[in-house]
Amino acid sequence: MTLFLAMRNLILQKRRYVLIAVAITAGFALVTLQSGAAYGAMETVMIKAARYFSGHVSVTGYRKKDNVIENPEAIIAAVRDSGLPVRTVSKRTIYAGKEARLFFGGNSVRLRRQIGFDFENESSELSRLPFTEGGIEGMAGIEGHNGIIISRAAARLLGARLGDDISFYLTSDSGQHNTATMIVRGIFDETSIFGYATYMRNDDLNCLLQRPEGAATEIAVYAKEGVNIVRFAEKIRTLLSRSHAVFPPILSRDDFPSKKNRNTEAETLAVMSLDAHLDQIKDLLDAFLAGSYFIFVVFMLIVMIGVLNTYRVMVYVRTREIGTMRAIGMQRDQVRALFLLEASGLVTLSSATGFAIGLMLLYAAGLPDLSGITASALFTESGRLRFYLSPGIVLANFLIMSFTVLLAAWGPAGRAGKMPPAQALGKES
Amino acid sequence: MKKYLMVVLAFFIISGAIYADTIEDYKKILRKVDENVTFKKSDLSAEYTIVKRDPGGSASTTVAAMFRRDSTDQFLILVLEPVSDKGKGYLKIGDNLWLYDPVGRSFTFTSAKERFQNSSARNSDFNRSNFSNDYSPVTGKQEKLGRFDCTVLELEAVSNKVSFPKMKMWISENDNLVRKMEDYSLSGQLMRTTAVPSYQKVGKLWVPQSLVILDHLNSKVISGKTEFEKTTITVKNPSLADIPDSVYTKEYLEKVNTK
Repeated sequence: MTLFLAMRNLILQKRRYVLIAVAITAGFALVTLQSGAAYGAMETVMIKAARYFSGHVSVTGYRKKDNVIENPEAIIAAVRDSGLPVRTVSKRTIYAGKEARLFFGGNSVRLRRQIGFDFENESSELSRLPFTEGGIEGMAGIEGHNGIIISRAAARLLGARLGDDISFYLTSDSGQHNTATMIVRGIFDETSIFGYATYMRNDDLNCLLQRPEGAATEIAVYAKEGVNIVRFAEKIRTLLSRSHAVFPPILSRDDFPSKKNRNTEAETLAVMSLDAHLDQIKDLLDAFLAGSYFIFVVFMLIVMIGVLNTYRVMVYVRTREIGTMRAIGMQRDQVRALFLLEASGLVTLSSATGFAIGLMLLYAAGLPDLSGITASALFTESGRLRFYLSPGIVLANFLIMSFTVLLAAWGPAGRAGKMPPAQALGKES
Repeated sequence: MKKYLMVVLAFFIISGAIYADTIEDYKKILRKVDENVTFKKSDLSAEYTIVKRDPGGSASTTVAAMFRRDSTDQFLILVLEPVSDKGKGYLKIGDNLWLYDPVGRSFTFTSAKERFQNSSARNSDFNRSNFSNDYSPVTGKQEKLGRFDCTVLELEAVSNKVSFPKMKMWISENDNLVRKMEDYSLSGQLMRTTAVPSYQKVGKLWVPQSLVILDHLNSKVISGKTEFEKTTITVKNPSLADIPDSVYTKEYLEKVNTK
């Protein structure tokens, strides 16, 4: 009954509630836009970084100064059979030597990272690269041999297009020059630091480096959605420690001793989560998120003051109504509950409206091409902002908003409940 | 049947012996090549002008003073031009090669396999000639190259210290001087072609007067013709005058730049 009365009052008092409703709607739209954009940027970085840094968890082998995993198949099998929430596990050969270059048409581009991937196991992950030409399917089968996937930035510098033969140069493990003619099988759109990588089949890269065909330097492990990456990495490290020598937990790149300090006579595995690889970028995004929530908190304070003042006026204006309700038998708690339910109804309807507006704003924010802004490349996909809102984030925002409004309404609602009926009825309307 | 097997066996033994003799001949040629351009009893200094031309593009010029002591496998190269690179230096002592940056006043360990001043030349091109120790001849044949009758040797590196794992070398028969070289990658792709059109006599030995290096990785088709990145090295004013030991030191490079 109280609920019915509250909802009826909400509709009847709509003119008095309209300003608060607008404030709550605007506030919720703002926080939806902020958190959707911030989490979307973080999610975009995580997706790009996972492809670049060998999955959500990378397992890298070290022996003395060399990057090597002697038996990658054993590690892959152990991770697959572990029962952990693994989406994909695959071996990789990574070449990050400074001598690697691509040559085409009189132009050359130096490469930061060459990623030799196992097509059979990792193609599903790499198919999500934002291809502008070609695709991962071009790397399949016999025709995929000597295929290469380059970024749009590299293609533009070279003047190369899909299907072109380009010369790939690097130095082998023994320091000798080696070259191969590679066919461009795909061009992906990436202008950030993650774009200075090329993808090729790991058997091709191993051949160029004069390593055995099935050799690997890293194992890429991708986790299923919603998994806590840091805990997942620790579980993998614990799993592998049963059969291999492993480094202690690595929480950031700074934790990891430099090459010359790694005194590993026997093969030792370094298990690193994506969070550890991205610690500096994550700090930046966390700071941005904290800043945006600070603005949200300030806005909430403004809303809170507005709700408080409006409810004070509302209780004063509805004194006779309160007196009438009390006179017909409504208890104090019920009167307080009535006002709080009105506030709850208000915040729910306004938040829903604000959420819808926030989604539209997010959609609009994703339309313009931001690739002209230098720093945007890292956080955008093909120059466009992507948003990400999990049910958890939306619920958290709603709970914060509800708590703020109810807190503001608590005092006036309590005073309304304590009002003596006779005094309330005697008041001039 | 026994007679047949004996004939086949004899054939292989004789072929092997002939082949061994031939390989030994090729090794002798390589040693003579090295001897003709190695200054064991004196220092060598010269002015090098390196002109790099991009395919269909601009040219850049570097002028450097080169000091070389073959007896101890040392050299020092001091860049004189352009102004932006003046004072830069390359110092080789044994297997160690340092690059000096006059702006930062710092030495960086570099590699003989790296490009010299971003040209088609490699730092190792300024080393003393050591083909007979670094490479092993695999095959050889006779061929005419312009006006020169040449022995063409296919060489494979015996160590990974050298820049190119495979080479083909044209050596003029009358004077055992290298006239042309083709450098190949491990996969057998032609990476560079070096032509030595002329030599100059310095004392009893020889120094190239000019070299032309074509970089086959860096090429462009212009008006239907393939143009390669080309580096021309001209060697002027070679001298066998003694050079003080202090020149082949890091301190010398630092001192030259503080003057």
